[in-house]
Amino acid sequence: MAAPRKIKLLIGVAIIIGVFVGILVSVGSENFIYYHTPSEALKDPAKFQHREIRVMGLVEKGSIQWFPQEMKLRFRVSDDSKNFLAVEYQGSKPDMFKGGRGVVLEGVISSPGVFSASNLLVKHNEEYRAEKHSENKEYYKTLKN
Amino acid sequence: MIINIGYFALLTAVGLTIYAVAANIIGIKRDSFNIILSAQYSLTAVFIMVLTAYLALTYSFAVDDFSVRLVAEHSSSDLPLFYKMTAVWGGTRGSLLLWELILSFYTALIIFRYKNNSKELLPYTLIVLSLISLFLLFLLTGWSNPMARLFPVPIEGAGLNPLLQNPGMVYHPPSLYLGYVGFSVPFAFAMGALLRGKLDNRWILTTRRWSLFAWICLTAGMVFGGNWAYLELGWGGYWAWDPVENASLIPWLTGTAFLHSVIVQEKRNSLKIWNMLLITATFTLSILGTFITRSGILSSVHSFGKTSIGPAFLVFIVIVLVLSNIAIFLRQPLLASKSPASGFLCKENSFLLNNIVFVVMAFTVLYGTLFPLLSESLADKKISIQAPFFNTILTPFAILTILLMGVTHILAWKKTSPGRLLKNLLFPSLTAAALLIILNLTIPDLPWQFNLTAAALALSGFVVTQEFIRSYKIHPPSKNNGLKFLLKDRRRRGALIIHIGVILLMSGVCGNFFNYETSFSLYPGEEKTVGSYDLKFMEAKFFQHQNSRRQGAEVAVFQNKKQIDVLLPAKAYYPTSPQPMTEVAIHRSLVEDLYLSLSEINKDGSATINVYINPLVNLVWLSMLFFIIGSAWSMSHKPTQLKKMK
Repeated sequence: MAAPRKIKLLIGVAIIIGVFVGILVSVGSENFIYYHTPSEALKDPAKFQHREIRVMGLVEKGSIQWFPQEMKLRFRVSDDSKNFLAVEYQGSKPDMFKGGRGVVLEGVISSPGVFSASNLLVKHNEEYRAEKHSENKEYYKTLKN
Repeated sequence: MIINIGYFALLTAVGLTIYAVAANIIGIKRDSFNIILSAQYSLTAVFIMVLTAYLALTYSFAVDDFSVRLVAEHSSSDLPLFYKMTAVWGGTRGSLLLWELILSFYTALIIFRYKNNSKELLPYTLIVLSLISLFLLFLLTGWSNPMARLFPVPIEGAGLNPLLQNPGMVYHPPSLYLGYVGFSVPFAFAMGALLRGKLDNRWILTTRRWSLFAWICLTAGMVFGGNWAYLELGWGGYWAWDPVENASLIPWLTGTAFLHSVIVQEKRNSLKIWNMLLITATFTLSILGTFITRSGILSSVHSFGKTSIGPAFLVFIVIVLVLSNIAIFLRQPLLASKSPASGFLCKENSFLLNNIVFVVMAFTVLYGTLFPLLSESLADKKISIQAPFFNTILTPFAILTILLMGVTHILAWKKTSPGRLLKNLLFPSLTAAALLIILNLTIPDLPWQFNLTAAALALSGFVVTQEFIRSYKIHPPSKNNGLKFLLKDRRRRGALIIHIGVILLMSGVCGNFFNYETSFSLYPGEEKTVGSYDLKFMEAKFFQHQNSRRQGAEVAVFQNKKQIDVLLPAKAYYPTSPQPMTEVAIHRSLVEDLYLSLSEINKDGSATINVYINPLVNLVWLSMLFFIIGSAWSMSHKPTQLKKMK
């Protein structure tokens, strides 16, 4: 009784693992998107041309231009405050989008140095609570002195 | 001062819980009922202590005692009282206290319910529950003390994240926790049975309703969360494969598998080891869910900021996994299956397949959720796994699950003849085929995923409805029994009601195939056509709403030249938050939602508006009703075998 049951169990486990690995292989890595920095994208634009990539960087303060009638958003992002990648995005401005914010962009390098984003995500604040907290903390500190 | 009482109560709870563990062990060894009874009293007292602590903390929130760090960080004096009370679980520490409150409440309830009829099993179960509780109490009195004070006392608190100021936020976390914690009850009974070494089906029968309760709470928590996201985040959807959403889906998937596999053990005395493994997995994944949510290791909308409780949770998960697997391994001989062989086409096998599919889905989601973390920490490559990954993999499995749901209802235990199965599937299949033809003739270019899902839904929907009606034919109303026929067969009818809910839910999810979104800017008086609607931007408006100031765009909605609604999507400015929040406006109907969110009122006077058309989305919320009614209906039935076991 015990032996065939064990075999059954093993077969069951093998099926689960097999199916699981099978899926992961068949879906492949096309859904895994690697992040790049704006300086990487600027350094070797040919490498990234016409290939969808994901870029993460900070929005340069004062670089934001918004054209409401064309629904066009232009700004620059950087990861080191030296190399700036110009970004064009078609669509409405997301919530919390402003200079100094971290953003994640998906899109392609359309012409040298210009990134056309098809997707624009604003990184949320680390803290899941009122944002001003850190400022308030400073305020508490000044109260103390 | 009140808060000190709370902290003292927590410390007392630690002492009482340690005593309960020791007393249970000694009581079992010496076979002393009095010592065991003292352990039960002390665990009941633990609940009172934790409740005291919780009320003390809630009181501090209510009276704006900013000397308590948690209050200063998550509340402010301008917050409506209602949200002050719910701000208790707005942060990690408060949520852990809520978790412990629920756990100690369940423990007290179990003692009250089973002290007479599960006398032998109860002490072992209580040891397991006390150990879980002890882990949380150690966190609460040490690393993650919600009662910690702040000096000097700030004159104002930092305020509650405006995103959390929504009724959805009131139901979402507690029901999620009721679910997460709920699975620790069947887990504790399973481990208790292993410790005791008498492995009949008692633990399965006793905890059947607990498991169902945990499941419905987790389900409700997820739907509430989705609804909150839909109303509050303004991106037009309710599920984004965010790590924290996944964290609740993973134990939900294994928990759903468990709900089904225990039926096989109950009816056919098999799958015993499997059930042990499954409940252990579900419990561990619930803990992992909390860990993912609360440690901030994965970036998500829900990140609560980095806290120091991460390592403690990891250690706890490892300990739970190691100990429970050792216990299962040692008791393996007692868990041998006793069921006689059965044919290939039978309910058992279809349940088994359902289980495999659910577990594979759970591990796929787990993999997709944790892989970016592993990739970053091991290979130092930042990676992102997006919705397409999950959608591609899970769609075929979801279709298979829906089909299995229908087929299983037709299959009999032990053996079903292929002829009978085909005969029973004939009408449902014809209905599905007819629906497919009509759909494809009216709407061109439907994706194959949609066609398959729709066919599966139609087939299973037909079967489930038919079985539901049939159940009333088996127990028809008659003059003698009055309304009693309604109470017959409650467990099965409950399951059928839940399955009708599943059909509705998945139909609602299918609506996503036809989602439409666009955005544009309009000057006052300007009109734009979206789908069957004409939207006219009337004027920008300023107004006050509770503790926020709002700027909205009044949009008149026309359909067939008739005005059907006036919507006011807005930006809300809260005094405690420099960022405006999006307040969406929705024109609802069963067929589709017209969903507007205001991007901004531009300097040139125009309004930039995001428009989403979400077909069938309301079926998702409606399914919740079926889940709750079905679960309640099923839970109201006491397992008959348990009655006999006394």
